[in-house]
Amino acid sequence: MVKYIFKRLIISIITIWLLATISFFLLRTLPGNPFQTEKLLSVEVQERMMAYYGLDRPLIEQYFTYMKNLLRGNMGYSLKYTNRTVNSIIASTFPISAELGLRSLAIALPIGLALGVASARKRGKAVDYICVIVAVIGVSIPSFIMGSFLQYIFAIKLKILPVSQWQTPAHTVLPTVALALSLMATLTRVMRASMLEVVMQDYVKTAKAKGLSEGRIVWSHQIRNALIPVLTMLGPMVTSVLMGTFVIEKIFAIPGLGQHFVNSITGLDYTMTMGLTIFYGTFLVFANFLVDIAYGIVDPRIRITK
Amino acid sequence: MQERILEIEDLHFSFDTYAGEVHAVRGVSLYVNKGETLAVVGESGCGKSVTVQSVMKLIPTPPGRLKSGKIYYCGENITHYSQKQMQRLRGNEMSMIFQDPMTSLNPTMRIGRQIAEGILKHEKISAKEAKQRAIEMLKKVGISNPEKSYRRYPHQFSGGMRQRVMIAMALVCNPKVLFADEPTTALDVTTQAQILELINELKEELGTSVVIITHDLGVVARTAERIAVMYAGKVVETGLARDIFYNPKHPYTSGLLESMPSGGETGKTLASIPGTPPDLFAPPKGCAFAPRCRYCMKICQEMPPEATELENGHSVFCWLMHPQAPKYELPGRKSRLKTPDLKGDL
Repeated sequence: MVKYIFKRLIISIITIWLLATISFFLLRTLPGNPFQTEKLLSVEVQERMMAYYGLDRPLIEQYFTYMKNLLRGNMGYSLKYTNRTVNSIIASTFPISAELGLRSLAIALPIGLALGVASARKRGKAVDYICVIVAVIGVSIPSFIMGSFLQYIFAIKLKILPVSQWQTPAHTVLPTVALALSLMATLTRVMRASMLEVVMQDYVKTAKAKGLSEGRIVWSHQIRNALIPVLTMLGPMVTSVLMGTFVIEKIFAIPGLGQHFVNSITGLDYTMTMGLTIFYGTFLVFANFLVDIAYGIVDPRIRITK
Repeated sequence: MQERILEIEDLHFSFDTYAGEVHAVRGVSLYVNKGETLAVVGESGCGKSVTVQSVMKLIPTPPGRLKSGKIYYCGENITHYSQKQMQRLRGNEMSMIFQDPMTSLNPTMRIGRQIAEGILKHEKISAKEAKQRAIEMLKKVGISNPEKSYRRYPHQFSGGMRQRVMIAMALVCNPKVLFADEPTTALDVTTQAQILELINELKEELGTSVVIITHDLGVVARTAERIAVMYAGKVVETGLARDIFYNPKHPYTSGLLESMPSGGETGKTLASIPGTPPDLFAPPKGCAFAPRCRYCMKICQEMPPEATELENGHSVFCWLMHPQAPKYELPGRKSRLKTPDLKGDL
């Protein structure tokens, strides 16, 4: 086990290094420079700014400087937010996005899985159709429509919840629900499909032939096996949700991390984009590692031998 | 008369599909005596598995549907038992082992627990005692190191070993009937022999009746006291194993026996029955075997044959048995009696 974790750690570091290197050089192939967008600046000023941030040096030298700083955990200053480091921006906005994400997951996971199970158990019955319809709606309605719709009903018409911002717990309700609905829909669909697969398995018939009750068969023979495909998608799903969603954060005016993913690229904020890429990548690698360990717990066939 | 454990009377079972009704079982009557082995023989799709699984009500309804007929277990009519009532019988009074041991065990549960949960369902004993019973049963079916194996997962066993685990699971509550649905089809030949021997041994030891479903007449010869031959959802001939083997009265039975390869013969083409079984969406009105039958008469295509009772409970569903029908000598195993040896010489 220790050996396995060590091996995974080495692979993770290499992965993150490759990710950082590739993004570093890819970013620089984008046309323009970070200061060009502000039309007011003359070429002369732009060049001075470039020199100030060291962007006039040879690319390979910049790369080594960046990597050296990165090793110390320093991701540099943002090129857009004056006097703010990338580290501090992430540190101040990530907790907000993560909180929103965790709240949504806490709702979406149990409900989504339960609906998936219920729907598969009652295949072809009313419950199933309702679940499928809700799931299709949840998957296919974009979150900006869902978000605006919720705002319209609960904030403007019923006036029971605030429209936007991120202050009191009441503020968190609408964005959490909006985000949770789409997650729930995806989880319901995957869990339903997976359960339908499991129900057909021979071992379910064996369990029935043993005289076990329906509830017992579902609980101890079907759900655990049906969770395996769900686990696979959980790593990337949790990562993307915790990192913040651009659209929901924009609609509800939440100062989360999500907006920076888009803004930093359109603004050619090299350091910010790099910082976010590495942060996201590291998180994803870590999440997948946890998923792999969880796999072993659920499915003994792929358990890591000691 | 011997005690009848199970009796099926004129069972009709259909599947409702989008394409129409599939008449999978069309009037099967069978019985199983205490402590005997009945082999249900027939080619794929003849309704052997459906018959047996409908007795245990393992087929989901819908699409399955029990149309008519009666099922008696120890004299009690269980035809219309609810799933709840069946739960008390399954595993405890009647149990089943399946064709493919690779997929019949839950891959994410320790085999010991899979055995113990059956005991815990049916008997009021502590988890510890159930574990002890499961370990004893594992030992009985020949799993080495049963204490350690108790904590293993199915993927850590070979196919033959998994089938042994399945047998342990099926017999741990001492059921009166064991249904074995092609228990050796997925195994290699040497393992097949071991598994059949194990089933025979445990049957003797525990006094269980066994219904073994197979399309392999070699398996039948090794295990069965009585045989029921099925074709297109009906029993066409039933009787003692030796009567069926040496004195078959139905052309289909005779054809099956003929198409069985014998040891020591080389260079000869294997005999076969030309044609294919009928479409069970629209079963024929006459004898289902008529289109493939060498001895087919006019009446065969018009009306289904009635049972003709011979000695020792041997009964045949064939118009050839009619007093006015021409007499033929059907080939059985008489001519080349090298293999297989009938039960007793195992």
